[in-house]
Amino acid sequence: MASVARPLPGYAGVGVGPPGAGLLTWVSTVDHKRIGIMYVATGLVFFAVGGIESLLMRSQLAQPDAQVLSPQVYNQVFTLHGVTMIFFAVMPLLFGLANYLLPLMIGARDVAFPRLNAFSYWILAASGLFLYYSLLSGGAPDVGWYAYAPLTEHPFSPTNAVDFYALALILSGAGTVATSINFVVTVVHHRAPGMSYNRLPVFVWMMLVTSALSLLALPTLTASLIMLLVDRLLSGHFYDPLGGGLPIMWQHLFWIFGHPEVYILALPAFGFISEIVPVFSRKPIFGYSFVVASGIAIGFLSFGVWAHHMFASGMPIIADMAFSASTMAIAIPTGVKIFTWLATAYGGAIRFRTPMLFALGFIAMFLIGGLSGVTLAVVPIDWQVNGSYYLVAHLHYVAVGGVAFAIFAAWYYWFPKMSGRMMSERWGKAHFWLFLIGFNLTFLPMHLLGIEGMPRRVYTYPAFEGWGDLNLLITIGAFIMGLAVVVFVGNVLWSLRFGRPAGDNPWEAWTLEWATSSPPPSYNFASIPTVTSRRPLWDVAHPEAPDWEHEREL
Amino acid sequence: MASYAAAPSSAGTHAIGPRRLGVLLFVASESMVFLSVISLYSVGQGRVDHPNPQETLSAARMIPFSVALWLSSGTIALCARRLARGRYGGMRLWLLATVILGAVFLGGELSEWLELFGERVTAASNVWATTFFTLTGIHGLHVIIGLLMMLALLGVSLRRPLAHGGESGLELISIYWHFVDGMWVLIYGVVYFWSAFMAR
Repeated sequence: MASVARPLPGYAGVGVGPPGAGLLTWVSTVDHKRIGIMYVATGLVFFAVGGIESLLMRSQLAQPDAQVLSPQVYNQVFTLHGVTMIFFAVMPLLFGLANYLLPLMIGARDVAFPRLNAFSYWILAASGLFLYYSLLSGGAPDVGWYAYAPLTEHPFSPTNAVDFYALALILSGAGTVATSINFVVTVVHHRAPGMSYNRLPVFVWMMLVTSALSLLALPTLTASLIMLLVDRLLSGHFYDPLGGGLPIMWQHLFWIFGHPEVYILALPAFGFISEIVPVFSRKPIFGYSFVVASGIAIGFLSFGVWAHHMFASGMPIIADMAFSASTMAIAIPTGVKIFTWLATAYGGAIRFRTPMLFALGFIAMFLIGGLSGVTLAVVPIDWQVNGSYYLVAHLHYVAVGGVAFAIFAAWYYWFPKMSGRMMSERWGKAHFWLFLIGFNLTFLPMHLLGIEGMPRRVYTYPAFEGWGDLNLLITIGAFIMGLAVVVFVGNVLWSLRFGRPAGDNPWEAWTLEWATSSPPPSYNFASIPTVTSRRPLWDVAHPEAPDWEHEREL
Repeated sequence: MASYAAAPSSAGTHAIGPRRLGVLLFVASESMVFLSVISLYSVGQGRVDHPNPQETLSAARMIPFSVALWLSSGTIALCARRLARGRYGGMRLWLLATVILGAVFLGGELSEWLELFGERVTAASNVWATTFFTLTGIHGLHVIIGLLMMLALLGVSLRRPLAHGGESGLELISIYWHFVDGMWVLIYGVVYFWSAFMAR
């Protein structure tokens, strides 16, 4: 009885048209898989744009007293780089992959609200374009991605650039909130029979936590941006000290959003790794409940650490101590995750395919970023290196060494499902090694530059400081990363045409998305599968030793 | 194996339907917008000379308008009850009553704004005025959106019988409406009672 497919509310009559290839079918689609692909494609385009911006910055900084970019343009480029990468490259890549995978992984035919899903995508794409439209209106925002007040107030930023920044982020935030509602309702209501919360793939669990964080964190950003717009357009005084306002409140509100946002980016990445490491180690994940619980713990703690971004703002010492302690506390569940991945791989018959290489690269690089994060939680160290290249190194070890490595791992892992073709292993490995080497050449020396005192966000530096050699090395590393991404894009384009046909389950994986054809039909599952354990496809392949017999031990 | 396969399906036994859950998540998210502005209000309100809430606002004057808004939470519940019993005439009447009560509140707020503008108190005056107009403005915008949705529902109900039950349009709008009314309890408490009346 439980295996009877029940009609899915919100699904009937939408998304099941003929799978035409015309442009209009993409524009009008409400199929979660097509929307997911559009998200991912949009994210890749913005990733390329943000990458080019970083290469522009590195060209300027390669030598002391260089004049590739003017100071004004440099400020705009580093602001665009940050905003683009966070909101319009990494968020669409993560939410796009989740859009594609989440319904498949839980045995559903689509998300709960397919039309709302299309709205989310289109408003995100539009807000990305809107941000870049500022370039045509007299210059991009030049206030940094976190846009501290009172620099953003009208007297200091008289052009419309900051208004574009605020409106673009309000709009993209609305799309993210809508997607998060969609994900939560989908998981609550559209799981296949037998898919209990205790059997949800870890990635789906992490998307649940991510959605909860987005629902509560993004409206804080929206509110603080609305107040910024009131200041700018109606001569308000929220962040204006002359009218009695408190600029520091922008920092508080922004980071109450901003630190959960860090985990909105990191938790889906943790989810990818928790899916990939077991499959390529040929073992079930070690400590499923600990992996899930640590993700939930990170979600809760992420709302209690925001002021560690503000140690240099002159808070009371008791606040410094409290936020230092809570920041160190969040390293504990994160450490639990690192150990469960290592324990999963330990003793496994590891297959070093490209997804696994990127997953292992993720673990190592993210560990370095996490550890430098703990050093920054020590208030005296933070006072020394705050606003220096040490911080730039830390955040990129987390954001690139962590999130971007995980996205590449996920890309190589699920590309065969999404396209029906395998990526080239040879070029995949070239991509991995070039990226790993380029990444470390770029960001490892930044730790040293930061400790030596080179401030972030300066457009140049004098020769007598002696920072020229390391900066040249960093620029070489950045261009190696650029080359790696070119190899990656070439690999994608080549594999789309000439890649080996993938078959349903090329990696011998165990989650439900691999039970469908590659690519899956628009309705995903002709009949809704019944799930008997955390690894449904293992049970199908090994009826003599199914997982559910051992489920209580796992 | 059979015991596992026949284990109760994860789906199917939910008290909260998908649309209802979606709206509940949405208002939970919206509440963070209000809480952010209210937190700035409570930080900034004591730091100004003139205009300030003690001189400019009257807690008593807003009471009848606030009561109208809170009553409308009751009338929309009565409206849903009439709908469930299939009494469409009564349903339309209570829906109309809800719209009128909401409009009375909006009128009260508008007249207060106009009065303040007359005294040259605007969003540009000082941080208190900025926060006051932003907070009541965001809330008023939510009221307007609620009223528009109810008017649309009223129009639909004249053409065909409305659906009823936990997933119906009326039920979803009333969740939103209760949220808007509940936020006004908070705003009235912080802005009018605490900062204008208690601090006098």
